Amino acid sequence: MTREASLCSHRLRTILSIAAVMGAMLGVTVVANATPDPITAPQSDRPVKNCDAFKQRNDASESQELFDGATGKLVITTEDSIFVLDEASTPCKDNPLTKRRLEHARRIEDENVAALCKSFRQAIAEKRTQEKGRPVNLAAAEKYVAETCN
Amino acid sequence: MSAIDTIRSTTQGGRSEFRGAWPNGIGISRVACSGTVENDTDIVLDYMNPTEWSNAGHGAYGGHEHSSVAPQAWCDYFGFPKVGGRCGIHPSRIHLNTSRILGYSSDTTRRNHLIHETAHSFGFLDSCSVDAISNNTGSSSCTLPAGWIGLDRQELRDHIYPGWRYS
Repeated sequence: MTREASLCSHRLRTILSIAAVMGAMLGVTVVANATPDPITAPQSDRPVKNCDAFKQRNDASESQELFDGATGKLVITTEDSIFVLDEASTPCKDNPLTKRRLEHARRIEDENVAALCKSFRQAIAEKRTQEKGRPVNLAAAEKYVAETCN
Repeated sequence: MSAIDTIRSTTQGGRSEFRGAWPNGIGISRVACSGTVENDTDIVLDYMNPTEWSNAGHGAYGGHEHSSVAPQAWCDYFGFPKVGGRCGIHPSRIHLNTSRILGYSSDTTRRNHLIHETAHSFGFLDSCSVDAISNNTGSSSCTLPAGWIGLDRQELRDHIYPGWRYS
């Protein structure tokens, strides 16, 4: 068993924190090709399709997903296509395959929001001015907590 | 060598394919098994049991990557620059099919699987067209990578993050 696998039994999570520069670098993933929508992965020339075209074959294909919780858009990149799903779209709601994928993405997003709320609340409580060696903007955290966190 | 150490050693600063980018290499600053996603968490490995994996609907594969567009507040908090008006990814979650991974024939295969899955967090997609970190065992000619190779570093530098300032 690898060191990583032995460290973390199931249900636990391994957290990888890449250096701050990498955090910012990951941040440009969706804009690397400078398109207005994060639908085209950098090395991809795959056709872009919508919920109507998402079939069982696509659902079963190995894929990566990118979800924007603010817009409800989910981009699924399979080995031969890119699918753009939208929570608000009727065809996406009517297709049980895309409906399930969107619901799963939203559940993950809810976990992420809860984690960020917890982190920001702690930062606010500590009146933090720095984190991981970087100066932080506490007002941004306060605004997010007020507007987003329950 | 563990998956983490292999990633570290094959993405060190000064690699020619980086062409001056990331002079200190791609540093994994912290690895924790806390179950807590913190502000500086970039990659989360979720080890799923069979029920969780089945409910997630990820098929028979060993892993599945979910990236989330970071809230603007996260970038504002850290002062991360926006590129093209976007804030970025925070975090990338990798759902792992634990029972399948434990069924692999060797530690090496398990390690290589983690190296491949974490590559998705950097923006790599699955592919079997060339011998690279994107290989996903999608065909018999496609083998899991043993680490980042020159082509991967070049791909990262030239195609995945061409707009980044590399500072």
